[in-house]
Order: sequence, then structure tokens, then C-alpha cells
Amino acid sequence: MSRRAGGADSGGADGYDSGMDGAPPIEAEGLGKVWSGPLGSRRVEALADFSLRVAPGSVHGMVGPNGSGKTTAIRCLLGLLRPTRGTARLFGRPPAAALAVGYAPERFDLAGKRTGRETLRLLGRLSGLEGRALDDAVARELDRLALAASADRPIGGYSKGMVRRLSIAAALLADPRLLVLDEPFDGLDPIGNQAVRDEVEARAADGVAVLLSTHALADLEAVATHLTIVHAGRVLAQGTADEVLGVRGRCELVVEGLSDDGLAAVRAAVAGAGGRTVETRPARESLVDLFRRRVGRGEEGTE
Amino acid sequence: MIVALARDAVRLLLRGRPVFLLLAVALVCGLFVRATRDVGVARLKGAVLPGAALETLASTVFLLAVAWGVVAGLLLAHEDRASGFFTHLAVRPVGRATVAIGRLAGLFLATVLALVPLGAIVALVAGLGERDLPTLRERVRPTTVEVGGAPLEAGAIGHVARGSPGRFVFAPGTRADATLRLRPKIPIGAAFSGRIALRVDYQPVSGASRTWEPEPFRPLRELVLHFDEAPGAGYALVVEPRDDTFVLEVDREALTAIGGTAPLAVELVLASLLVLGAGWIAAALAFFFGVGLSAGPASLAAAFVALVAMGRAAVLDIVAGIGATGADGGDPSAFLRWVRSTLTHLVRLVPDLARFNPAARLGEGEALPAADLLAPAVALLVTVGAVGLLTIAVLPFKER
Repeated sequence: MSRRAGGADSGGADGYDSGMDGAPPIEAEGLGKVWSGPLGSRRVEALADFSLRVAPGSVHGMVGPNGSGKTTAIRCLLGLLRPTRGTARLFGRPPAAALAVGYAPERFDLAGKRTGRETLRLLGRLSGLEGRALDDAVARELDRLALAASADRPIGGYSKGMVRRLSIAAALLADPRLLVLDEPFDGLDPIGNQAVRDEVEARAADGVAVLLSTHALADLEAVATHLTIVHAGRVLAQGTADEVLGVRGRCELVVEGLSDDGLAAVRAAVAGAGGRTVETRPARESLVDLFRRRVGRGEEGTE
Repeated sequence: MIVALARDAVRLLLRGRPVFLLLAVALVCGLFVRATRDVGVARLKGAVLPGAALETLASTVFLLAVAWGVVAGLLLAHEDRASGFFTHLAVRPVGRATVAIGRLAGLFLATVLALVPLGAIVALVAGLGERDLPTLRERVRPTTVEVGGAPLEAGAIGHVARGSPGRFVFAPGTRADATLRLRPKIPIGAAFSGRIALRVDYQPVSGASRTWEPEPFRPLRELVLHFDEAPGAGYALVVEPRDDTFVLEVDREALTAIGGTAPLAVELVLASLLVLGAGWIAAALAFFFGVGLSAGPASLAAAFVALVAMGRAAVLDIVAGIGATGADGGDPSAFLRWVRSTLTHLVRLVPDLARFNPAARLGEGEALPAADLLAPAVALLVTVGAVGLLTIAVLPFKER
């Protein structure tokens, strides 16, 4: 896979505004969103005092139960919704269409009459790509998301996982400096999950800021450098993954090649150092790893 | 970007099932033109209306274009909104104006691409180009043709001029609905105004003669004379130019009458089928395009067409004096005639809607301003509606 040169320092595709130099890709302060019924009745506070800062090269995961306000927060951050309170800035500027944002919404319902390639070409063209650059970007993302063999079939015949991958491909198409993925793992098989995780990590390594909202906690945990836990529209916890997930005074030790006697010796050593062995269990391969090993990384046809 | 959006709109509107649907619509419309081009306008006693297959065909296709444009615009707007396309646009460097222009361009392009072959199929099915188009009624040729008082022999050409009228004599029992094919000649030195101004005398063997002087009209078209009378005895139609700027070149077949009036039942069935057909087409469009709005729009479309037809019937009946004369008062079949009138007007609605030139050419001094206003008014409403739909489609880039 050849990655587009430039990474975090590039200005994105033609037509994209790079924003102000040095400004964080996402900076939100005290965002609130209240939904009101007619004449102000039935007020529902979907988001309250939501603050977030996403730095270049970081993968910021946002988790929370259904209806906790994750998607509302994303839509406020991107300017798709006008927040009732607070401010959001992307690259130091108010959210605007011309900013270099790649967004894969939770629902991707573009017409089934278009083929995958036509969809990507259209969205790429609307992102400012054209000519050879557009052709190369479409071919690249189709290949990366394992959609090349299905590219010329109507989307209507795609499986849920294929549509999800197409949505992510559309978000990645113009090499945005900020990637916002809403439920990117929804409907994906483990191979698809891995493809998305690889893509997210690779983009982050290139300096792209990534904001992920998902219920796939294991996948998120594997890639997130920062986490925000949202509940009932409010931030419950926020920080680096280590800060949020770390348990003070605990660590994990993974060893191999030990006999029972050797294991007993390790426990004794831990006890001798003033610690306590909480749990010892035999290591086994994860189901995900087994699936990937046995099924392998292949191109998806139909599901 | 505009080109990309336009091409995408064409793709969405024309790919797949719509092609077959348009073919079916074209066949239905062709049969419609073929069957209705000579169906008379009931209730307009003494009126002289222009009409020709070409005009009916053109106006039918025009109406189809307008209807297609509205339906396609509605579908495109619905598709863009329901699919979240605007969300994808909102996070990309593309402006609303670009989207609006691109989608409108695509809509027009799709309309043209759809209607050119559709129009050709309609023309083919309608029998355009045939010398005598099949009609529901039998064509009856005059038994005698006189020009300037002298009989015109078969194969000979006569010139009808002011002071030298053409007289077409028809046998008893022939319905006095006539079609006159005109070939004007401009005498040397004459200043032709570009309009044909005629006087038409209806001279029954028994009873009083009647004279009409229709508004001047363009040459090179057929003049259809509707009298809505079926004289038992024979009659003659006398045609004479009202000025000296042109003469009419006629042969024995220049004027043909239409005999054998379509029975009321036939007309009723035809009109009913058209009403059902309009509803079916609208429902089929909604179904095949996958409009997620249940059957609402389809029902509304059929109801709208029926309402416009009834409105037209009411306007024309009032103008024609029906009702005011009390001729139908107490007649048990008045309701049936009203239904027939309404449905017949529905049959005539298609060409009338698209007619921008003065519509119903009554006798001089009997202009029909209401009918003249109807077509542009409806066209304006439809256009405004289509623009409104697209505006709605474009506006909600962002939720607020």
C-alpha cells in the first residue's frame, strides 16, 4: 500500500482548507444541545457541557450507551448541528464545509443505484479531487478497504459490512487531516475490523487526528490513544487511554515457557516484593486472532 | 462539481426500472394521442376549435415533460434527503448554489434524455405521418366541392379566395365535425399578415344557416370545426377568406367531416380509463422509484388531475352558457351529461394544458380569456412547484 505523501503536514486535497497552522484539529468548549418541541415544549438535553480537544496524530475514542449524545456531539463538532451552548472549532476555525474533514456517518444510505466506484468518484469529486488524482485515490481506497472486486456493482447489492467499508473509504478519499468515524466497526467482520483498525493507526501515524465513536470497545481499546466516556449527554471520564483505563497499583505480566515450579517461583517473588498475584490463567489465542489466522485476509464478495 | 452532480442525477433518475416504465408510458401516451385526437369537445355548441395530431402530440409530450420534471425533481429531492447525501455535502467544500445548479442541470438533462425517445415512440404509436390517422370516428368526405360556384373535379386544385368561397357539401347523417387542411397561397403584391382569417358558414338543407368568424390563426395547420350537431338532413360548409391577402389552395379532400359520433359509453369508458391510467402511472412511478412516502403522492396526483379537469369543465361550461340557459334543467340525464362533460374535458386536458397560443378559438367576439389563462397559470404553478421542491431539497444542508 502506498500512502499519500505529506501526511500531517499536507494541506489535504485540493479544495480543502487546511485551517490555521498549529491549531488543534478539534477544540470544543462547553457544548450543549437542547432539543425542543413546538413552542418550547418537551425539552430534551442531548448534550451538556461537552468539551473535547483532539490533537494531531491521536486516536480519540468516544464511548457511551445508546442515546448518550455521541452522535449529537459529533454533529455539533462538525457544524452539522448548531449547538445550543458552547463553541466548537476545527483547526482553529468555526466548523465549515471547506475544512479538511473526513466524516463517515453512522448511517450510509446513498442510493443503491450507484456502484461503489461511482459513489467514491462522486464524493471524491465533491471533495475537490479530479483527474488522475481522483482515479488514484478511488483505486487506492477500494484496494485498502478490500472493495476492488465489488467496485462496479450497485451498492444495493452490498452487504452491511461492505457498505460500512465504502463509507470509511469515502471519508478517507481526500486524505483529510481530521477523520471522524461514527460506529466504523458496525457490521464488520474481524477482517474488516482489522482493515479499519490498520487504516486508523496508519493515518494517525501520519499525523491525522482521528475521532472514533463506537460500541466496539475491544476494537477501540486496541487503537485509541485517548478516550472520552459519555453518559446522558455529559462527559464521565476523559483523558489518555492509560489515564482512563489504568488501575492504580496494578500491572500485567505476560510470561511463557514456565513450568508449574517456575510459576510458583514467580508468585513467590511477587509476594516477596510486597505484591499480590491477583489472577493466573493459561494464555490462549483470541477468537479474533484465530479467525484472522484461519480465514485470512481476503476480498469480500457477498455476504 | 456541477457536471459530477448533474451526471449523478441522470444516473439516479434513469438507471434501471425507469427505462421500462418510460417505455410503457410512451406506449400509453401514443395510444392516447391516437385515440383522442378527434374526440370532440362536448358542450361547446357552435365553437370552432383548432386541433391537429401534431399539436396534440406536441402538447402531450410537453405535458409529460412537465410531469416528468416534477416527479423526477420530487424523487431526486427525496433521494438526496433520505440518503443523507446532504450530510456528505456539508463536510465537503461544495456550496449550495453548486449543488442546486448541478441537480437542476441533471434534472433537465434526464428529462431530455427520457423524453426524446419517449416522444419518438409516442409519435410512432400515435401514427404521426400517416395521411389519415385512425380515429374513433369515421372520416366522411364531401359529396360535392365547389369553388366560386363551379364544381371541383377529382384531382383538380381550386383556389378559395375572398368573393370565391369554397363550398363542401355533405350527405345526410354526417356529423358536422370537420377538419380543413389549409395550404395558403399569397397573391403577388399582397401583404400577407401571417394569419389566416376565415368565415365559415354552416348551411343545413333545412333550418337556419349559421356563420362563425374564428380568430385569425397561423397557416400550415389543420382547422378542426366542432359543431356538436348531427343533422339528419345534409348540409354544406362554406369557407371564405376574410381578406384579400391570401387564397386557399384546396382539393376535394381538403375538407373532411367526421361521421359516426363516438357513443357516450365509449367516451365514458375512455375517459374513465384515462383517469385510472393517470392514477396508475403515478402509483407505478412512486412504486418503481421506491418513493418512501406510501401511496400519498400517487393519490394526490390523480386527484389533482381530476380536479383540474373538473375546474376546466366548469369554466368552459359557464363560458359556453350551459347551465345559464337552463337547457339541462330538470333533465334526468343532466348529471350523466355533467359527468361526461367532466371526463371529456379530462380527455382534452392534456393538449389544453400545454397550449400557450390562444386556446379555444371561439367565434369572433367570443374570446375565452379564462381558458387562455388556464394553461400558462397551470404551467406557472407546476414550474414554481418544481423549483420549490428543488429549493427544499437543497436548503437542509444542516439541521438546526
